[in-house]
Amino acid sequence: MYINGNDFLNLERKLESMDFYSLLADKDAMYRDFINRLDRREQRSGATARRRVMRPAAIAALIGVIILITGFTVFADSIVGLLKQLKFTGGIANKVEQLELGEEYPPDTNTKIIYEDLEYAEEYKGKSTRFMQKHKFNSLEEAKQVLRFTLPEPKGLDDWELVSVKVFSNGEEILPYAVELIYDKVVTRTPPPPELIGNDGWEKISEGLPEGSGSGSFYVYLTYVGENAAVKIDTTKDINIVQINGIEAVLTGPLPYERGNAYGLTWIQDGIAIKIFPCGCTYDELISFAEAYVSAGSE
Amino acid sequence: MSMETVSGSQFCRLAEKTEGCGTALQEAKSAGLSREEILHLYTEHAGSVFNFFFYSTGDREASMDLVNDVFLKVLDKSRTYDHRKGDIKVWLFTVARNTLRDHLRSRRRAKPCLAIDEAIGLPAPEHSDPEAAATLKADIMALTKALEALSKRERSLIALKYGAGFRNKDVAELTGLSEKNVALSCAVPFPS
Repeated sequence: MYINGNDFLNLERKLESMDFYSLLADKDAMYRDFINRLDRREQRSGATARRRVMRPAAIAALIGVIILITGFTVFADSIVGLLKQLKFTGGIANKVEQLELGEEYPPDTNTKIIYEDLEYAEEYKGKSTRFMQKHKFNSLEEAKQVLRFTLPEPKGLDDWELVSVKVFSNGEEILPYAVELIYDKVVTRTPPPPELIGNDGWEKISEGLPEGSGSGSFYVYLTYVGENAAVKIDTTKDINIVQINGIEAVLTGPLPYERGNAYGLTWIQDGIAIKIFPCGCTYDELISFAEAYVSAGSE
Repeated sequence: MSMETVSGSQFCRLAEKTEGCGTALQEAKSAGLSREEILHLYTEHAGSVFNFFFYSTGDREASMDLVNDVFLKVLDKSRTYDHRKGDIKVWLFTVARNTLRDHLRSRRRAKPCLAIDEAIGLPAPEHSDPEAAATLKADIMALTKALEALSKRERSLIALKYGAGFRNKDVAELTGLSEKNVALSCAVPFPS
C-alpha cells in the first residue's frame, strides 16, 4: 500500500475529491487571456478572410482591366482606322497606309499625288520588262528636237555638269514626252600645296581623272503630264512634303535626310512632272538643285 | 470529485436542451464553431482540461496556458470535427493529449523540470486562510510527488480518469486500451 513512502489509499481519496482547477487556477486570468487570444485570432482570421475574399476580387479586377485595355486598344485602332477612312486625321501618310501596291490610285485631293506601280522594285526582283527603254542622245539640243514639250532650263547649276541625256521608249518608238538627264558634280581641281606633290605633280594627277566625275549625281526625269496633272511617285513609304521656292514638292525617303539612302523629289511645274533622284548628295545640294529647276520654270 | 464530470454525450444532450449547442456542434464539421459556442465549451470544460494538464505536468502556470491553447486549437480544428466519430469531449481531450505531448517534448528541450513546489505555484486567491492554504498545499505536493513516481503511461491514465473525469470506458476509447486494462492500470498505483 505504500509507494515512495506515500499513503496512496489516502491519496486516492484526495484525488477523487480534489479539484485543482478550483484550488489553483486563476480562472479570471485564464478567461481574460483566452478572450484576448480569441480576439487577436479573430482579427487575424478577419484580415485573412478579407484577403481571401479580396484575392478573387483582385484577380477579377485585373482580368477586367486587361480586357478593358485590350478592348480599348482594338476599339482605338478601329477608331483610328475609321478616322483615316474619313480623312479626319488627314495627311498623305494616312492615305498611303490604305493603298496597295501595283494598282492605280486616284490622286490625293490636296496634293494630287498618284502612287505608281513599283517599277524599280520589280526590276530588283528580276522583272524589268516593264522598265522602259531609253535612247541616249549626244546632247541636250539633240533631244530637244525630239521632245514635244519645252524643257526647263535651270540656272545656277555651275557645280553640276550634264553628262547624259536619254529619252524613253516603249521598245518600238521614242516617247517624246519623257526624258532623263544625269548631272554629275563638277570636281573642283584646286591644286594642293607644291610642297606636297611638287611643282607639276598635280597636273599629272588631274589629267588621269575623267571630266565631270564628281562625288555626287542627280538623275532628273522630266515627263510632260499636262495641266492639273497629279504627282506620281513609286513608293508608299517615307513620304514628306517640302516647299521649294513656294512650290509644294513630294520628298520620298527617310527623315532626317541621310546621304546614301534612296530619296526622290517630285513636283509638277508647267505641266511637266519633275523628278529628281540624288545620288551621294547632301540635303542642301538637293534643295539647291531643285530650286534651280523651280526658278527656271518661274521665269 | 467536486467538479462536474459529465461525458461528451451528456454535455451535448444538456446543451441541446439549453442552448441548442448540440446541433451547432454536430454541424461543426462544415461550419466550425462560433465564438459563442467555443466560449460555452470553454466554460463547461476548462476545469477538466486544466485538471488533466495539472495531473500530467504538476505545473500550474503551464496548465493554465495549455488549457487556452487547447480551446484555440479546438476552435481552429472545429471544421474537421465529426460528431459521428465520438463525443465532443472525447475529441476535446484528443486535442488536449496531443497538446500535452507537444508541451512535454518542448519542455524537455527547452528547460529542466521545475521543483515540485515551484511548479505547483500558489493556491488560488480564494483560499486566503493561511492554515487551510498550507494544508492544501501540503496535500497537493504529496499528491504531485506521488504522481511523479508513476510511469508516463500510468500518469496519463490517471490524468484522464481523475483529472478529466472520464469513466474507464471513455479512457479506453481515448487511449485505445481495453476498459479492463484501464481499470487495472489506474488501480495499481492506488491499491485499495
